[in-house]
Amino acid sequence: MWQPRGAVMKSGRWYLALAAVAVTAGCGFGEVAFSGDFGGRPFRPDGTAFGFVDALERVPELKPRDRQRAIAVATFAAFDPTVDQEQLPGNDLVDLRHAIAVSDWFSFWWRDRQQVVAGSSFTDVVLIGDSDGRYEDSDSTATGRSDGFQARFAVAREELGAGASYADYRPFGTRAVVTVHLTEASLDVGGRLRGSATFRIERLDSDPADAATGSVGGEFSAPIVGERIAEKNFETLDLYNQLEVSR
Amino acid sequence: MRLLPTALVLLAVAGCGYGAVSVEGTFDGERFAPTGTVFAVLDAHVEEPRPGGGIAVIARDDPRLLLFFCQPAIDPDVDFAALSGSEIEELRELVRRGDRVLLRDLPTHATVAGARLVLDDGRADFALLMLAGSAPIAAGDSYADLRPLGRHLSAVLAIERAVLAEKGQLVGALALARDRAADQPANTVTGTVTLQFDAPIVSERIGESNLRVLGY
Repeated sequence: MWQPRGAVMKSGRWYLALAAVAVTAGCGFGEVAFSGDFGGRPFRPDGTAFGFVDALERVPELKPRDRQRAIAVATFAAFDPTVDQEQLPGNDLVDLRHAIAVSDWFSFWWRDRQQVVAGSSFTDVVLIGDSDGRYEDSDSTATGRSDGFQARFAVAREELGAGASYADYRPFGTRAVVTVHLTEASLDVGGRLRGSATFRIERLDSDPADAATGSVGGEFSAPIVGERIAEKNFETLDLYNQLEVSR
Repeated sequence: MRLLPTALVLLAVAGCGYGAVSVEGTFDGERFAPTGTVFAVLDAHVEEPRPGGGIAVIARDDPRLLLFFCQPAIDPDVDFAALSGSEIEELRELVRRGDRVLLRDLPTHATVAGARLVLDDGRADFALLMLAGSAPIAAGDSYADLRPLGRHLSAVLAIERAVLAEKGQLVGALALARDRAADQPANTVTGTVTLQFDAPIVSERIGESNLRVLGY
């Protein structure tokens, strides 16, 4: 019988950490320290956190943007965003892409870096998409959202056991409120975005009564890396698509 | 270090497949042997987008069965999506290179002991996907050696035993016939292969997820 080279994991979460570590020299980048859970499902995008300023656009040649964007992301999968991930061996690259796709992550996007200053706070209200656990659409009808700020996140895919049936299936609440407060915002390369974030999943009236809700939050620190290497790795790892970051 | 589930190790050591399949007949001497794995999935629910977002799981009014055969021995009780990315690619490639058959939309009300379900020009009791594996070729092989496979397919599924529940069992025989389509040459490969099978019914959620990972 065919079996995986390494063997089958018992827990996807620690397996993914191992897989990601196996393809990088280091173990994690930036810091995320969250606590809480969504109805028993943890949310720990604490393998990698980094940010960058998107200052240039291709139209088709590079030219400065009228408004420079700021981006911060975090994933459970661990990799070094200052290293060109395209140089990984093919299998390792496939492993890392898959680990990112199925594990916890969040992304924050600001339309104008001028917004991003220490002491500022931001809120987005996000709706779950077609894939369960993936909050990928801002609720345009919600009040209290911060102009020019988008938050997205996904809870790791649930690992299915041999007897997994729909009787065990518990969906997430449809809506989530994400709040971010920045205590440090040094956007030059070598600086960092630091602050706290809270992700609160809520149930709508239309949701099943057992839909998972809850709140996860804590501190994060995302070192600012160079735009060119960050964007190269975004392309290589399909992060624009996987982490729902606007180009 | 990751752990290897004991059951999986024992199956691998013993060289067993998943379920049981035996083959009678060939397609003009060409072996067709999706004999390493057979399992069925009772498709009793459908996932639909909820208004406002998210996924709603709805019980089907008309549950149906999927029946999958493939050449390598794989364990459909393992969550393929939880493997590493490269292991998933390896598994997909392994399955793709071998013979495989997928029957979809088998109506559960008609899948009972003694039933005979048919797919031919006049009747479609189920949908059929039948794919021949990719045999290795040698440096000297040319297209002159290549005989086209008959594209006109028909199938008869004879049910001997049906326990249609998760952890249940489907036992029977699937006769697959290849015939020459009107526009195919005279040397087209034709014939009938019959797969005698004993298929465990795996849990719906993992069974469907695994078929999706494999691309079906």
